[in-house]
Amino acid sequence: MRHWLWRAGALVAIAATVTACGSSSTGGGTQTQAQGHRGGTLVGEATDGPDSLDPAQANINLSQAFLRMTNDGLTALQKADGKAGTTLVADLATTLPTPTDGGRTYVFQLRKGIRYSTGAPVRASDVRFSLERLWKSGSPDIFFRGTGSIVGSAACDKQPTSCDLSKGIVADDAAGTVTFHLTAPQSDFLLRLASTFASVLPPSTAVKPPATEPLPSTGPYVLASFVPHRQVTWVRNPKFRQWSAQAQPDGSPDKIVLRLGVTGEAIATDLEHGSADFYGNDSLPADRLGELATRYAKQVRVVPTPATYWFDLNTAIPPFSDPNVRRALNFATDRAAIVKLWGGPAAAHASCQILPPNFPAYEEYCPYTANPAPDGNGPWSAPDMAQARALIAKSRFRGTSVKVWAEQADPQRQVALYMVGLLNQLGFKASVKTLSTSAYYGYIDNSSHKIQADFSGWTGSYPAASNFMVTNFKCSAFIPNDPGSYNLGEYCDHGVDAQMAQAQKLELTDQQAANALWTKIDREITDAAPFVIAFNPNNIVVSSSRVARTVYSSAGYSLWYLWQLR
Amino acid sequence: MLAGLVVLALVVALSLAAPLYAHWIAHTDAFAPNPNGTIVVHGQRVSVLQPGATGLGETPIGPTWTSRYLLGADGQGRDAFARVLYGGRISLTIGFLAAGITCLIALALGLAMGFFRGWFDAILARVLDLVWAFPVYLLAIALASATLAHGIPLGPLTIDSSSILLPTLIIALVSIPYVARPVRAEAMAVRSSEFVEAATASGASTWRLIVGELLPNVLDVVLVLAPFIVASNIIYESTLSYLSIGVQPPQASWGSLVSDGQDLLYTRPLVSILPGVMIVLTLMALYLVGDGVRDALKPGQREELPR
Repeated sequence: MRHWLWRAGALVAIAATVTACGSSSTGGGTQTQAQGHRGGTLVGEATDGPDSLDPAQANINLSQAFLRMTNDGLTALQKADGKAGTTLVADLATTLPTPTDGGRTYVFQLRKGIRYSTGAPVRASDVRFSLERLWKSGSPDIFFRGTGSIVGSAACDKQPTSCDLSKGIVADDAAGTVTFHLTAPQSDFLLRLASTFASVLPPSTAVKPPATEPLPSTGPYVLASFVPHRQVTWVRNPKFRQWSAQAQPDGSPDKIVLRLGVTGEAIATDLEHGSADFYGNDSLPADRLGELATRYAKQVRVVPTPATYWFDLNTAIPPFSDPNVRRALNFATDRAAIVKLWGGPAAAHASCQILPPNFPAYEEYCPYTANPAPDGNGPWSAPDMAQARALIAKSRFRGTSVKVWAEQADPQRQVALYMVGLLNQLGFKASVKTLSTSAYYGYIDNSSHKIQADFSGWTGSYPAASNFMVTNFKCSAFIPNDPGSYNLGEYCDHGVDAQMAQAQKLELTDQQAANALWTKIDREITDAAPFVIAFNPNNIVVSSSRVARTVYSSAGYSLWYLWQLR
Repeated sequence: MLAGLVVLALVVALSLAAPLYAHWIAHTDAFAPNPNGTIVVHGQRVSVLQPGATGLGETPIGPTWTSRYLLGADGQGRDAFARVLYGGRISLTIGFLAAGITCLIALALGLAMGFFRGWFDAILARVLDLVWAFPVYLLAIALASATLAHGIPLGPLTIDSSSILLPTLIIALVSIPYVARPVRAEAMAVRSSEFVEAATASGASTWRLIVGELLPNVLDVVLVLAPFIVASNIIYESTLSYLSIGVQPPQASWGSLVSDGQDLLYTRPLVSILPGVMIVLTLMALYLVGDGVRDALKPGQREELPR
């Protein structure tokens, strides 16, 4: 939903296409899609705009989806529909390097002849500049800051403005090589480099440019204009020459326009009437999905998404500092009701645990249900209000005030309203606070705002359990007063941390044993309940009748620039 | 004026009767989400949120024209009509309460400024000018946004950001200059009149002069303005709540209900339209009442209202 995390499995499996999370479709599926043509203007609409189009600052799905067509890093996930979209490939680098020095050194060879949209050549030293810029610009990135392992990154965490990675990233502009030195083997390092935060920019780029300023591009498009809350326009990058059809294929439309500030209702109507070709929101209002799915079935694809949506419960602030309250809320939550509010059983399915179905290490687990299966090894069936009330009765925080934060757009707001109603039913004084999508995560991620509860989620861009666990639930993923602190529940269990470290080590040698450990970790965190896990969504890809072919990666995002118009 | 009073009384009565309607007629809790709820309509049990045929989409039930879900449900499966009635309670409470606070503070300030004049008047007049200089909506939105997260801490007390006191105080504050300035002008005029000078010469105390001589003669200014201030306050409240920075859910006001229904405008337009109609009716009634009061107390005068 917000941040997309990248992670490799065992190194030997990095370049292999992952097999889980297959896509399905209703209406015009991949198989039945017609062939379109190159050219034309693709028009999208969204309720709220990108938070930033600077790779160092873009922190929500919408922004990152567009950065994938303008910018590149050394590696990338293949730009392709369905499962192929989860394959790791070399992008600005010629090949995916095999690590040496016990997994602590990676040497990349840059492709020759790639230029920025400014005409300047891409150089090896730009990689170091771009990664140091993450610290210097106060990026919300968490792939390299905090949990990173590049030599020098720990010092950068302490002194971000004077970050120096010269010992961890050795660039040779003449030879076109970039050598990374890590403090310890990191099984997912190549996938971290595929995140949009690792996009390569020239050293002429300001550390903190104005949000609307077009930055140099390497991809097939360049930002033409960005008027916040109104419209964003991208046009073809005249300097782009396709170097890899897998990593960065040439785009289809000549121009892409994203209109902003359009209500969900208006977006649905515009998609039906053909005045918009795609939507940039997480979902559309639930009351319109039924009509779209029946009257415009050929324009709708329902694609499983490797994602889990939940309510973070801040374990450091009352009332959720009390495990009884957190567990009570888990028992009381009617996940079927939330699924309805999200758009119905075809749009999502109820869950109690972090990992989504079909993920490695996923084993169905739900201790927070009426009539649970033995050891909790079964699905959620119904809320258990009696258990919830009994737990609440043990807490001294009953009756306290709770604010639940959510994005302003529906259905997120509707889901938050449900939780507020439930908290009030349990005897709390709850209210909902909403923010626009572009401001939301920057606000709630920052612990100085003392958020008690929020509606959030995670899209795992490739199927590996650590993808979800490390960034959201490791102790170091909580960074006080930082806009890139993803551990919103401020959950910290050093025992679980040690198990995560062990599982990551095992991934290098024994994926099966690693998965077994991740399964255990999933259960332990679920039992501690720093959240109320709500559901796993499906992505509802809706296009206008003008669109001949849609492209949706199983990594959890649309590749709009590859959509073809009739 | 009579028509205005009748409509206003009707709206107030309906709003006050909201709990009775919800409990005895609609048999519903207007604040509890009810997405899994079902009701019997014409002998058939139906879902309050009706699922799409393909399992995709959920549409709130439309008007049943029966006692339950008379005008349909909102996105949470709650009775839309019951919520409009409850919304009226909050909108009217804020409108009248904020107007009361505005009038009291403005009356005190205007009287003091008009009586004491000099540096006291000069300083306060500039402060009022400063507030006056800001467009009312901009100022109200800025204040509401600034206090949205943490409310207003007042020493040991905190006005919670979800309390209706917060929008009430913000609205009251931004409206003060619009009452205080005319009161001050009137007080200055009265202060210079012969009967006040006579009272001063006879040794009347400052308090006696303000309360006994000035107040009765400037009160009609406030009485004439009051209905218009209430009307303006209802619009401010609706605007702030529509923008999600006024009344906070699960409480409902007409403004927040218009916002709630916005994403149902295509399938269930009544959820948005009905609170909008109530706002229009109430404002019309208040303006009629205000015109009547003005004609009675200050014939021929047009008051300057907040922009």
